[in-house]
Amino acid sequence: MTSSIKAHDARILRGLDTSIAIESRPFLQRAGELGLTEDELLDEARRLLAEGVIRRYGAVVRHRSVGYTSNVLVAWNVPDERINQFKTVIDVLDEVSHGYERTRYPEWNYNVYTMIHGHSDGECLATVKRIANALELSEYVLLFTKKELKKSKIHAVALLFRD
Amino acid sequence: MTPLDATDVQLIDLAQHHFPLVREPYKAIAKKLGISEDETICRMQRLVAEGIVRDIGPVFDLTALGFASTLIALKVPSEGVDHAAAIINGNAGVSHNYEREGEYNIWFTLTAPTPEELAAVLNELLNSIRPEKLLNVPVRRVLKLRTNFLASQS
Repeated sequence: MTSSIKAHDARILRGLDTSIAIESRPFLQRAGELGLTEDELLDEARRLLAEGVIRRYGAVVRHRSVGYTSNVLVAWNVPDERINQFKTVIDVLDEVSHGYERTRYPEWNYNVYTMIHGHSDGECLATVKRIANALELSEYVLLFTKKELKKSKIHAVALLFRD
Repeated sequence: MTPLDATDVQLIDLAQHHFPLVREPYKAIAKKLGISEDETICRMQRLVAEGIVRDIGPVFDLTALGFASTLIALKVPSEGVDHAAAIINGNAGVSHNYEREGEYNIWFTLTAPTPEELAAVLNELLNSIRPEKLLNVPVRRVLKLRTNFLASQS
């Protein structure tokens, strides 16, 4: 195995990785497959959640199904000393799902990326303007999607056991 | 698609943010909703069948697992997008891949169990695609990360 994960944890992660059946006792069969009792598997899941290895356990909702039909990736040039301010602004905006500081290059002078959602492109643009105005930022680029080529969940465990 | 009623919205919120890791999770959710366990299960089955809920499971923090990842932007000729997409999408470590407007027209995320494997996989991809230009923009700091949406926002 190629990562620092303990073999024991890897076995548990593998058991938890795929979606559970929607039935009264969804963990029962899964636990049996791992040679554990239901309670042992649930204890392990709660431990991994507490340790942060599992960020969240539960339903994954499709964004488009809950009303968001438009999104845009925006790359921003934010002065390094104002990144904390930028963070504060996007923290309170529901329309912003992701924000990252990333490596900046001379030929691509952008260092912050946000994913912005709305019910229309116009609504997305309004959110972009709101952020730009709040922070007096003028250098940003809108990277609208032309085509979704792939979107899938990464099965971490599948990557680990590829070989 | 059946419109969501107030109970559906509450169910989605609970299942997203407070899915109980107990033997009978739907019984626990049902208690909070004031409906029966059977009705809770039926509603959830309907939400999955209609594609509103994609699945029920863990969202791993791949960084906590020691994984390495990055965002890659490529400039390829428009007639080369399909070819490049086929090569990129064949990798299990690619979760998102988009054709976008602008000079860099392909943007994808790449994840691997170690930094060394990430570099090796990326090299392999680039050797097959031979893009005109490339940006490798790994995360330096997470500013915001929300993996869930409130159903009530609809």
